[in-house]
Amino acid sequence: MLSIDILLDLFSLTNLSAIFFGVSIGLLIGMLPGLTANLGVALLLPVTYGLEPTSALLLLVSVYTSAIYGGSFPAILINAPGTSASAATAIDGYVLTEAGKFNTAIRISTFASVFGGIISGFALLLIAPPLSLISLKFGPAQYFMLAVFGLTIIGTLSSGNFIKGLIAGSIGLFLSTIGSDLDSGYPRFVFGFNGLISGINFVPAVIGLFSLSQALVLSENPHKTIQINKIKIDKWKFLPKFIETQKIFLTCFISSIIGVLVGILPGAGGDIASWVSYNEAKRFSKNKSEFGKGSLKGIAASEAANNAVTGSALIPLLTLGIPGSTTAAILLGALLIHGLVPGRELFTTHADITYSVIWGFIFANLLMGIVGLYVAKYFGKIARIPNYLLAPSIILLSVVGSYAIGNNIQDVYTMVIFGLFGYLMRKLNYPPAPLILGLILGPIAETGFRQSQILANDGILLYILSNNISLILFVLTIISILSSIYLELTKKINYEKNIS
Amino acid sequence: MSRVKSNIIISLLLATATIILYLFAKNFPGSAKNFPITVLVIIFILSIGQIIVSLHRFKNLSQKDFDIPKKPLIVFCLSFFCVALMEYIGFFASFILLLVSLFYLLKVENKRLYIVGTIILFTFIFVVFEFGLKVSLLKIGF
Repeated sequence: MLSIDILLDLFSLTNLSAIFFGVSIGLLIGMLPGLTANLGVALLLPVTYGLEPTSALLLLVSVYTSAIYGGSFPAILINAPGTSASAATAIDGYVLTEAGKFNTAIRISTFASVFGGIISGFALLLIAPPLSLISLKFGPAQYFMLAVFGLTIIGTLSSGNFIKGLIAGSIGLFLSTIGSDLDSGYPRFVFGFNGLISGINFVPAVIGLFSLSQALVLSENPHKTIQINKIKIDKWKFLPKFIETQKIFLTCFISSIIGVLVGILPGAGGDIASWVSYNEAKRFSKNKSEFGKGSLKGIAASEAANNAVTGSALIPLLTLGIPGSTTAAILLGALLIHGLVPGRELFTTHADITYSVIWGFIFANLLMGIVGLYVAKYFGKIARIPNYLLAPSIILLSVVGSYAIGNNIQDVYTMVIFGLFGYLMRKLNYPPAPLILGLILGPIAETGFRQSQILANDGILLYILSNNISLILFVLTIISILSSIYLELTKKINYEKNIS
Repeated sequence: MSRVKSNIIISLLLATATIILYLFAKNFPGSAKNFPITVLVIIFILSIGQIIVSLHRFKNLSQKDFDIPKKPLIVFCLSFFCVALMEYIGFFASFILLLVSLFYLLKVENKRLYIVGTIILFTFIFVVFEFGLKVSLLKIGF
């Protein structure tokens, strides 16, 4: 798990630079309300092409975890969470800021975020290798059902409307069939465009769906600026006081465990984890009334949980190829770009890369706390960057980034078209994450589907259900759909009750 | 347009598109058609499901307006136009054209920002991509 070779590799100049760059960019993105970890990872994906797999993945995971932590700054200071995962932090964080205790709130959120991130890193280190053994038992039917289950669960959980989530995932699957058929070479849905014969490259699609579409959203209000009251930072204290850490230690630990458990569930992200932890911290607190009035435990619960999700979301990703969050779905693309297929091989053949990335992730969490506490003083200036500067910068980086993938103008067109598609999806409340997951998992699902068809004597469904693992995955898929229908119906009944 | 109406229109368009694509897919040889047809059937069923849900659910929500502002669509068209131009006038000419037109469209009043913003972004992209990642930006279109 940890050898001298891994340490030497991790602390090489290239890898340290990748972590530092990733942490800085992640913090910047998290601090800017409206920009998300997805945007950061998608935008930097083409930059990683020229890097070694270890450096590339270290850069991306550092952006991921730091962006989630960075989201706590605007939540605490201006009551505008930088990411949805920090929404619960705003409740108590902003009260402390109004009371002139911005410094304390940031210290607590930093300690909790680092704590949660490190716990999730160790969870990843301990749970992922044994779990990856399951992937050895996977055949065509299991891979097909795994892709269906992954799509169903991310489709049903990532949207308010589960049908829209499923439609988005299915469209992603359909888009993955465009291009030459792998068996016969027949060009499917090409309609005379030669550029489509090789299929749709998912990297420009990711950049378009998450970055360009966000720039289009920002251009709606180009002059939107954030009003920030001047913060007194005369006596800026970097390290949390012993009495503060003693008070929140248990909350951080329990919330981190909740975050780890929520993160392992595909589709359930940091926002769910932070709300669950916040509610649990409140429920078990001796002083419930302090919650909502500047409770340190409230901030700690939310921040420890949302950062604990970042590492554990990588567990199903690295072991089975099912992303635990939207950002993890983009990271799946990054793994495949660098020739790394999720499963047992990551912990055997490519163990040096995988363990370096996991240890690097733990180190990135430590570094993000140090950098975060230092740049917190300058948050006011960073958050004031106007949309009319952000939007053009994101557009240009998206154009250059998608061109950089293969020095190919076709990829830029793909990115631009998916950018519009992503913008319209946001407007129509269709989640983009299932679409990109469908595009990535499509070839795996189709291969499993076709091989199962060949192997099946009594019909494909009977063949799939004849195996224990695929039967379990089938049952889980049905449960996730039925639970979504139940939730929709409950929502409808509650709504009608309120109306009447 | 109301949210419910837009949901129904989009679902109808999706259902129609799946029928057309199905007609194409059924002519694919051998097993090449099986997976796309299965996916298209699923999309069709889900689209019909979405129409039914939209018709029956939250009828009172129909008053909620739904619109797409023009500015992002103009930004998209500009981006698309400049990408198309890239093949004819090269990366950096279209880069400057796109940036200046975006600043103009987004009503940036500080004229110094046009120059400073362009130079900073130009330098950043050139250093990172041309030198760092060896991407031949200067060769686009030539």
